[in-house]
Amino acid sequence: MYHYWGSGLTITSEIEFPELLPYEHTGLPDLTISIGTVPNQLAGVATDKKVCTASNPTEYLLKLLSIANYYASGGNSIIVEPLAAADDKSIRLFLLNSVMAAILKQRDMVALNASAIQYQDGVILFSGRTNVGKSTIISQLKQKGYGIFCDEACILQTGVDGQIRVLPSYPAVNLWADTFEQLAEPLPPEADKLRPQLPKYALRYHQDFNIMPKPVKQLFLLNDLAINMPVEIKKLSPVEAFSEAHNNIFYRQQIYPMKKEAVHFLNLSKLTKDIPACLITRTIYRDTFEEMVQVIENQIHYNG
Amino acid sequence: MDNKKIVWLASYPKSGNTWFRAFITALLHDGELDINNLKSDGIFSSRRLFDEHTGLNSTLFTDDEVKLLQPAVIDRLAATLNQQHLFMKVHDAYTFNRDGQPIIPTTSTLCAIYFIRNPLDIAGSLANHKDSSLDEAIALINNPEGKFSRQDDNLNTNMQFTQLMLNWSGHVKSWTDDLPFPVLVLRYEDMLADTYTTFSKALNFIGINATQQQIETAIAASSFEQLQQKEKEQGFAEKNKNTLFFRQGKAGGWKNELNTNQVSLITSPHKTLMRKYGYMQ
Amino acid sequence: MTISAEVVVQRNTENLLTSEVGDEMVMMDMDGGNYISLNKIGRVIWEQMAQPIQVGELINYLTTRFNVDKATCAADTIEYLQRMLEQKVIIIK
Repeated sequence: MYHYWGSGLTITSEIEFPELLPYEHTGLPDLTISIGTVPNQLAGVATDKKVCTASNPTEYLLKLLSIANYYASGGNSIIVEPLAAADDKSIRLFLLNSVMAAILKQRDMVALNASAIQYQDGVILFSGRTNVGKSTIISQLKQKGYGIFCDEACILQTGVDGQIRVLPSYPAVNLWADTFEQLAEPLPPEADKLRPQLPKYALRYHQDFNIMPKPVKQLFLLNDLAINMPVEIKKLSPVEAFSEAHNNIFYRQQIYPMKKEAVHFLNLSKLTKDIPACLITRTIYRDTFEEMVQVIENQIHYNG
Repeated sequence: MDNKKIVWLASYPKSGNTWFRAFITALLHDGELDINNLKSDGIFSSRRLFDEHTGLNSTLFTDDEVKLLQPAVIDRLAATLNQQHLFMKVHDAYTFNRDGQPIIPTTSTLCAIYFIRNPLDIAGSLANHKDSSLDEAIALINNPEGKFSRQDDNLNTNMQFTQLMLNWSGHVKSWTDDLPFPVLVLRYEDMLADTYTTFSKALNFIGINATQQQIETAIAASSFEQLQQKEKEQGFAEKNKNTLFFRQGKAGGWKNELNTNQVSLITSPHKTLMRKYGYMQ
Repeated sequence: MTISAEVVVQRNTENLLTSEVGDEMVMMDMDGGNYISLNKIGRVIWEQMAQPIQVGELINYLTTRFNVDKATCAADTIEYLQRMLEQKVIIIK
């Protein structure tokens, strides 16, 4: 049995997860991951059936090609059934994505597609759609001396003082092969690929991984357009920030069938009510990351 | 309940697909046309569509795996919509996935309109669209593994999936050789020469009733002059760069654009189909 | 139903989640799943509706608070309340 911390949860797993933080915990784990046969269908009525998946507020079933079947239930259990064409990395990658997202929602937890750097006594979040460049931005900021807080997703948590803080997902920054050239860094070895056939690499940082909840000092929403334009930055009102952030919830399509609109509404509005937020828009037609980093650094210092 | 709703608007790029979509949009919206809102309920190769109907992140999958799931994604799209017809643009050649299943699902397909154009004219148009050279355009037209929106080896950073087109002849054959649903072939040159007749033929084929008045209004709203004007006013989200998307689109423009060598580079491998469709003697 | 000065309006608290966000408010209609935002003025109006209130009384309050001419205030307020009614944020008592 392996013991970990990931996305705010203590985890006991039959499968080894190099992606997660090894963590000895006392008492019952928040989440148990076991190998077994998944049910053919949900125990309860499905509120949603998509290609490969079925879900309701307490169950999520994913039958993924010949890779694996996954069943997440009660917010505390994932059963994994490896299939014929399974390789370990692929099994783990898909579990850490939509399956983990379902577990978090089953536990009434809210996660954002976001990467973050450490700043003062808290963090600065960068949120936006998949592939908009969040991971690249924090990698460039790291080169300028900032510490990384998280990549992929951050989890919102309300403390006993009623304040919102965030937790990181797991200690890796995931980058596509072409980013390394931009960063003037060598391509990592094959073994660091997320999946054998995918040119996306995991840069692990277990030593520097901090699991304490942190306040959010600033929020940057990232957007890209098919228009030739210089990098633009626009201050957002709290309501605009709420709206933009809502578009970037981690596996947002799960909210409706799992009936988690309320908890997402309440937590996101709490997050966006009084932190400085900006929308950064760039063109897709050229590499604008140098420009973006400039704009971001200026804004960070402007906001104090 | 019959889910055969999808009308595929299939073509090799730059063959009149967008023009027809502008016409259909204008027709279904009483002559109103917003070029950034063309009546295509999407493009087959859209990642967003895949994500929506699977609840998954398409960028984690290989191209092979995506092709296994795309037919089911399209079937689900058809099943979840209330409208009678779904117009879907597709530049992919009609091919089969690893399971031997056609990537274009038969279950939800009503029919397809295949837009064909002289590959000599396509070359010039392609060079303009992608801001690349004529030689690059010709190489793509001739490449038996030709792809659009190319992402090397599953480097999934593009907003669309890789579209495998084969070469021009391969593309044409794939869509016209005995498919399990009706296919109407429309020559771009015929669309230019007699827009009213060809577009009416297409509407009949699909099963859409429209009066002469309605058709003429829609044709006027989607003419080249109109499209270029609107593009200048509103910008056009589909185009790749600052070059105008809606070029003059004449037939035979290739004579001014391609040199003799470039012409034979195309006519040589594609002469059979060029003859069949009246582009060569 | 339409809003006029004689009508009494109140908050529609059933199935409506609200959250103060800066100077504004964001709300979620649990029924339809719609998100609605109220700007600064809308928020002031909402605050005055802690108890059911007659529209005319509300107009008087706003006229004084924002020091504007009554006719304009009346027209604007009625229009705003009408939209809130359509969004099911308020109901007529």
